[in-house]
Amino acid sequence: MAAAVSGVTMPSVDPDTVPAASDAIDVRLAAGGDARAYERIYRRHVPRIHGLARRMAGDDDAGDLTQMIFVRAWERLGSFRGDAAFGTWLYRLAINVILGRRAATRTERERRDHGEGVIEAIPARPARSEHRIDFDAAIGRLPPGARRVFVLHDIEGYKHEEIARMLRVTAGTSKAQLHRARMLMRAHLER
Amino acid sequence: MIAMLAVLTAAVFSTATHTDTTFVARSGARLEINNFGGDIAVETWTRNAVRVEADHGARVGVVVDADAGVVEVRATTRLGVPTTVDFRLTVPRGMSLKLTTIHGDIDVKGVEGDVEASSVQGDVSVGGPARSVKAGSVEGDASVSGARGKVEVSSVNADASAEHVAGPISISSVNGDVTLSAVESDDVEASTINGEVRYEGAIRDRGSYRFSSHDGGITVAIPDRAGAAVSVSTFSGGFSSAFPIPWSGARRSNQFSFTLGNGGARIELESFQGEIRLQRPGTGKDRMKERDAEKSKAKHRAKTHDDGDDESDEGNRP
Amino acid sequence: MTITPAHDPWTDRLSEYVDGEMRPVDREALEHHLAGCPACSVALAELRSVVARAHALEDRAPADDLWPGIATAIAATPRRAPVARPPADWWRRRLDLTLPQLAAAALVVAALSAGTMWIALARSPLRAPAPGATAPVASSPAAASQQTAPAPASPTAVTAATADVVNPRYDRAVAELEQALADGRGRLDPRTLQVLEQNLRTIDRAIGEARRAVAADPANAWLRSHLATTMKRKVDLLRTAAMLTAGRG
Ligand SMILES: [Zn+2]
Repeated sequence: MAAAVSGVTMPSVDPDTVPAASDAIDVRLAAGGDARAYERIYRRHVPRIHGLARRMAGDDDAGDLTQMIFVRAWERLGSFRGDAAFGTWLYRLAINVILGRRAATRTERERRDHGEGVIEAIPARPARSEHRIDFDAAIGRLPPGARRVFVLHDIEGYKHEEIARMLRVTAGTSKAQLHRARMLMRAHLER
Repeated sequence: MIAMLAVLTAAVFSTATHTDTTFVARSGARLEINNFGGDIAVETWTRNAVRVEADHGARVGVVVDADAGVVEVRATTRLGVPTTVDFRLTVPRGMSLKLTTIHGDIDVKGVEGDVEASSVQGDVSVGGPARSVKAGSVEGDASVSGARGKVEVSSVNADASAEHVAGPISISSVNGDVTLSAVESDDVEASTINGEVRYEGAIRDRGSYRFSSHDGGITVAIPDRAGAAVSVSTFSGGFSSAFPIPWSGARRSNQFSFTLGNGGARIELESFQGEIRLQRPGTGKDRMKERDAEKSKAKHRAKTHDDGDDESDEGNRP
Repeated sequence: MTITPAHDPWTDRLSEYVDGEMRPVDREALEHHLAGCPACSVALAELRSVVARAHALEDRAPADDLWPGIATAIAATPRRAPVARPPADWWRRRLDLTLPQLAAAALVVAALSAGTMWIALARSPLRAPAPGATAPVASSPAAASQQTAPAPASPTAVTAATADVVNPRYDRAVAELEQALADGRGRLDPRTLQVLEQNLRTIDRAIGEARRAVAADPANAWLRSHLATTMKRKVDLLRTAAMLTAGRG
């Protein structure tokens, strides 16, 4: 038995799961006031949070919103109970911040766009613009109501019922907005 | 519908709960899956392409990353929550694989490359002419059959087995049996703490065969014409042989050695407190088969896979 | 934007169809319609592409680094729900220790190959073996080295040496890995944790039995090798467990 008795072959450490493991530690450190730990959290999550803010609110506001979200999360770290993934918690908070600010700054035009006149606005055929913009950037040009539903449903994976609750609309409105957004986005498919 | 992957990331998503995509694999590429929950089943075909079929939740995407020599297939969720995905893959025969899952079984058939497969809670089974195999589980069984080269099999809390294998073998468990059958290897190391060790196969001239258990018995079938220097060590166990032993020299009741035939191979039999038994091939087989049948029956009890939805963040709302 | 003159009502339902949210009866009707309506068929294919494309979008960090602004803001922001200091400090201390500890333990364990343990074994003082007694395991390094080892020492020394049969590095590695497992147990599936602990108990029991056997028969080289092998199994299993707690969330 001189040769090593073989150990169990275990899954190697999966880089994808490292953020989760590191979050658990960094969140506790940050909750204790460690700004460097919080910076690590920020670096890990900023691409997704910024992506969400950019698509939900547009390029111009995305930076400000992202900063607001991370400041708000810092303030509330103490209330993160750790029974959900930190990423999930942060994400939920981000959506609340984004939607909350929308409520405060909602424009007349937005209100008009919101929910009504959906059918009429659908182009019979996707209009092919001369200067085609990137699919991702095109999301920012969707009417705000349709855009939010599209981002939450097709990109972030929420169900209509959840979206309806978050946006305070009916599930039917959410479905109609989603369809509207998708019909419009057809024009921006890269071929 | 075949996409060519060079050095790029291809995201293959579907809204439905089923993904089915096929892409060309660079020859010599290794395929890796690091799954959280769910089974992984791999078969082969003659095409130089990889087909990935996956069943998953509606919020899950399947991503294929191809980079240099590695093709990585993984499940992603927007919220980064671990999820349960059952993968079925069809790969070129010569491909090498590295597969891991936490809650799920792994079943590989017919692959000729190097195969590494490990699960925490599920069974791992690798069958076919693999060049080398590492198969391991913590809670489930690990079994290998038909491999041509080096074989490492391990379980912690269940059984480890290998059959029809020819290369160097290292096989172990802690609370489980270790079973080797139809082995054609000249380098075998098998050990467990609380379980039986059983061996049936060739005893090659100059080969090395080491079997060890703490609590359980060691049962080894020695072919008629095998030549081997045999050492037997136990603390409070016993020894029996189905054939006459040519005793010679000094011996203690619980540690002794003897030589069979030309003594060309080396066999070490060690059990702290179990029975050490020598048999002829075939005699113990029926009993082994019976036990295996019992085992597989017991194994088909309901499995407890987590397939709950991928998150529940209500009540944890900021 | 053109407004469809004769509006095809099925067009509005294509997203429901894509998402699988249609009642079977409507689904069948739509499928029937699709067979005869190229416009809807094309739109359907495009909608599917839109959905697939949306799923595949990649996130990227913002072009400007937003952190300095956040750092300034949080330096000035009091917490709404301040965390009690002692627990925070406690966590910090504990975590600072735990992760490097785990890494160190893993290194120690990597270095602590079976070979190292055999050497340690061979060097501990032993009573000269009774003639013929070690023959069965003469092939193992322990026994081989032992036969050339200088002859020993009093029976008392033998017992003392066998009580801590391997070396301090082993005990340290085990202690550190056990600590890592204790710290990380919350990150393991409770069932897996239970299985690991049960198996560690199995090995501990085996080690205990082997230790007592060695104490009763210190010159028995095979017993010592069996003890060392079993102890090595414990390190292997602890390492497995520690990796599971470290790598998996
Ligand atoms: Zn139509």
